[in-house]
Amino acid sequence: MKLLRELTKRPWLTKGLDSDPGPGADGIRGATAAATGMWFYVGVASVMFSLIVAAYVLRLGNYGADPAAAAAAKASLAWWTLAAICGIPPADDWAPMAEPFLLWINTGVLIVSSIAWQKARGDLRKRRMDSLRITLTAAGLFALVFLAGQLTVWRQLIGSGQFAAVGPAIAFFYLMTAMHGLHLLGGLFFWWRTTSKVLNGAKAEEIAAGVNLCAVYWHYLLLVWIVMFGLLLIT
Amino acid sequence: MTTYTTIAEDTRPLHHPKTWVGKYVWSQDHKVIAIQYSLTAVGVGLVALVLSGLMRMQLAFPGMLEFITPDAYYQFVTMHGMIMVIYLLTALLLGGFGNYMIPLMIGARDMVFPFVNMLSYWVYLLSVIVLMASFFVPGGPTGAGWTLYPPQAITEGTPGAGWGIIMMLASLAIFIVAFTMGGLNYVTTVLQARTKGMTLMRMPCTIWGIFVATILGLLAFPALFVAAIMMTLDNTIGTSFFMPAIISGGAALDHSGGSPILFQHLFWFFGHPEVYIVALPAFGIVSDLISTHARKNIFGYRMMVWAIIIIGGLSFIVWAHHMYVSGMNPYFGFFFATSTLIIAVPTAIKVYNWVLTLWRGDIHLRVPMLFAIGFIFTFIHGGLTGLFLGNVSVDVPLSDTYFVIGHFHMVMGVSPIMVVFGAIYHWYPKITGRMWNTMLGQAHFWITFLGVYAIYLPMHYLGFLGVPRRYYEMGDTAFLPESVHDANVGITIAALTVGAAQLIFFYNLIYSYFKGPKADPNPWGATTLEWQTPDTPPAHGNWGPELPKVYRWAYDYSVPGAARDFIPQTTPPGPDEKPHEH
Amino acid sequence: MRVAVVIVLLVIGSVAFHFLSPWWMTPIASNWGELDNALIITFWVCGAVFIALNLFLAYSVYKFRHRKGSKATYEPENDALEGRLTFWTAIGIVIMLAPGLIAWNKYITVPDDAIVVEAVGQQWQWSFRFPGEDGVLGAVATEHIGPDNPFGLNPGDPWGTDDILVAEGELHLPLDQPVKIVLRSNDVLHNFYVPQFRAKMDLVPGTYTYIWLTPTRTGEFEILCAEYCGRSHYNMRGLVVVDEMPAFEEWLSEFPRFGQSNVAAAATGAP
Repeated sequence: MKLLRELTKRPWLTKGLDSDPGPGADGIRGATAAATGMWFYVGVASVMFSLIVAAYVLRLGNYGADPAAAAAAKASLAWWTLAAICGIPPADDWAPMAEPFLLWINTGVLIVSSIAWQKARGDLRKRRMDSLRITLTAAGLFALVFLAGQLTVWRQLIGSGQFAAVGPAIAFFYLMTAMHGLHLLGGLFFWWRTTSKVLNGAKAEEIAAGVNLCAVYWHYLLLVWIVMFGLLLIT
Repeated sequence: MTTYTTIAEDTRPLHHPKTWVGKYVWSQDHKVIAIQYSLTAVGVGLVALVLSGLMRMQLAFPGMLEFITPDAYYQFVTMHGMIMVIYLLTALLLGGFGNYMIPLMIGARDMVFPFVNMLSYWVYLLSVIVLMASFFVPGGPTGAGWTLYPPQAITEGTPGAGWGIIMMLASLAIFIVAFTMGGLNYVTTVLQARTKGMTLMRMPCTIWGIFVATILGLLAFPALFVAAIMMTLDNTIGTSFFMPAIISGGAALDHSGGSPILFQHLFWFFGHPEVYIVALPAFGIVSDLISTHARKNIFGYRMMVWAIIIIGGLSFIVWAHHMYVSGMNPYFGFFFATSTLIIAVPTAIKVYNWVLTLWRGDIHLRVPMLFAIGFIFTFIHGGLTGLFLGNVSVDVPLSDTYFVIGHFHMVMGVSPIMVVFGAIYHWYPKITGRMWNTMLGQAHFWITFLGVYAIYLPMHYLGFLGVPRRYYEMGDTAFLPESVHDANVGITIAALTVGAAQLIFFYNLIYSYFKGPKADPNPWGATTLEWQTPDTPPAHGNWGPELPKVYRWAYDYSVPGAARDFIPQTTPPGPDEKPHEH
Repeated sequence: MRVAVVIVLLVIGSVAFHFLSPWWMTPIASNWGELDNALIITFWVCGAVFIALNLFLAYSVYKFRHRKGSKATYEPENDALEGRLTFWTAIGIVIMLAPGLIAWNKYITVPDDAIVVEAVGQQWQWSFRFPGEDGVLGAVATEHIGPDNPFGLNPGDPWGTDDILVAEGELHLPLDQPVKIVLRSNDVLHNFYVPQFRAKMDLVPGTYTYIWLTPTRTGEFEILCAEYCGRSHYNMRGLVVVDEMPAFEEWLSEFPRFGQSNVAAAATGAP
């Protein structure tokens, strides 16, 4: 609403500084620039992950040319699940992926990592710097464990002959986990920058933005992972 | 030198590089980065211009140049298209003009993430190098057409289906990384680094156009990124995202179940906003050129801003008008034809307002203004022909003919380039501190403007006739009269003339840079901030010790009662002016 | 000044070009006059706007060019004028869009009495298949394609036995008979385009697409591939011959049925 009011102003009528607070001494207005940048990046990443999900659903509904095969596909449970959820039945060559149990453990690890970030924010607010050092380190390590776990799943799948070319579901699995993993890796870069500052005794104010933004970013990636994992599970 | 050190967090005075390398190569100054972006984009654009000349030679004089085989022809077509759309126009308008103009026009010292900004340029350069390298790989660059439609793009029947397409996809992915880094910078800078008094509605149209186009780019390029990765996987490790079971080279390929149409949806989900990524900055810039040189405020400023925002939003729900005859669900045609024609309304409003700005103006027909008028003419033409192709059943006979070639060259080739030329002439005195030669500028305008119309007007009529696009040669085709060949010869002569005329432009810029007369700091009497810098060209940090303060909107031209016909944004309200309305 | 004159000349030149140039739509040979009508409505609406806007542009530039002492008017906006312009633009849009959508609805709705023919694209040639007396095209799949079975018919499918195979790039169609052309590709995207028919649609590997039309005059019409399909795209030509019904039937009777082929014989011979 504030934005709408702003955008409907007749700018030629008002002269002067127009009660504009302007930027601070640092040349920046409002929230830190890093926060704005991160939120825009979350927007970019969301479009990308949404499109992967959309492509997954569309690919799922691509029957191909053979009506007989499409009819056969309708006999499967996956067809009914998808038809109920998305209105789209799966393609005739669709082979649901058998999700390795390890993925559940990895999901748990990523949740713990997110919780650690949340606790880090609490520590920061209460200025408990000793505790912060531990929670920050834990948050990053759990994320690393998650990545190692994902790699292990890849190795297990490849070891059992489940290459990406085997079927569309498994191909999307590799694509989704790779893109998600790369985003987490990018997050870990910022985790390392923040954590190394804390370990070197930085003051709370210096790392507040870093901790808060990383925490939000981690929750976001957890959400992305849960959506994608859920999609793999139900199809 | 860290990724999120912003000017915000860095309270020391700006770090002034001492060495030549620090100043011009590893520079974090937005102005230097803008020049780096621009020179690279124009350099690679010249390659694309030469390629188009070669294509025209083949079409007018089939077989005369023996090295233009069908393979080579399709490779030229592909590289020409991709370079012009992405590596020239997108990079020049956002990486070049965006970088140069944003901090200057909103009163900031630099972008908020200068290091990321520098990184963005070097990653962009890498994408250009990878793209150019594809000319030298076995099999040459890809000849898949700039739309890169699978299965054709990655099967044997297409030139460059081995290395070429991989290099292209890799280069695109790298470009998108570069663009995202730059784009995050532009939007954050516009939102947060505006100086005191620079409210959103006091921003010049240039900034609005660049700002909204950047948001479009940030949200649209991921689609191309995903599509490029998926196609790479189809090509290299044998997945079947886009590849159904097909025969290629007489043998069945090891793919099944993929959807070629899925690729087209992803591609055009990026591809249509891409048109506006190029057009919106041009819309914004041309608004300011017209206003400045007509000594009149841009007519209906609020409507102009809203139109930019509305066009930007709508551009995400019209993509499938590129796919009316693609075999997608035919019922989509109703929706996308309607949404596409709706987008014509805000676009038409913009055209009316440009012309209404001239109405009762005080029009100085300097070279930038000539190009702005040239833009209005070519954009009216290109915009109207868009109504043919957007309207689903009118598109059926015209799609994939020369009508399409004529249309999109007018609307997103010629008209933005008109603005680019106008903008370069307009800001050249500020950027270099020198003035260009007027006679050469006018010669450049007239040859370019009349030449491009001679190229593209006949193409529309070839399209009505039914001449299909992407044909290496027409050979014997019964329904085509002999005169079609004459048209091709005429178009080629016009195209080569226009291409050669660009030498005048480059000569003018280079000669004037060294020998041109010293320019006035504000030669056009413009109101916007970039003309009010203490130094010309602006020094590092742009503004001397104090940031400028903004007291009025960007269009106080010919205000009744004012002493001069413009009042810079930095001028405090006079005694007659009420400081606040209400 | 000069630029105003040139713009007027360009407008006059464009109109003259329209009337003098020898290039316009080929004489139509199908029922798709509606597509032409929608195009012509769009053409005249857009043409009128093109002329009006550019003449106004030229007049403004001429009338308000800078002269000594001239001054611009100060007028930030004019809501009423912009409202009127928006309204009339919207009207113009509706005038163009409505016939377009109505024609499209017809374009995608195949009449019940249409006969079926399949056009198959494969780099870089056309071939055709008629369904035979049963009116049903037999099932096909890429895996069945071979030297003896270029269409990839499934030998086990009884519907395919009477399919008539036209393994050459010339297709005959009967005059005044609605025909649904089912489009199928064995490799990459192609597009079935006969300029005189106006209709056009991509062939998409892995699925079927279709167009329908009624040929309205006899004659020979070239098929051009209108979706880029690789290095010989420009050479992917075919021919449609529109005949009177008896001549068509005679032409069709010369082609073999799938049931007569070696593949089909082997399949029925097997237990």
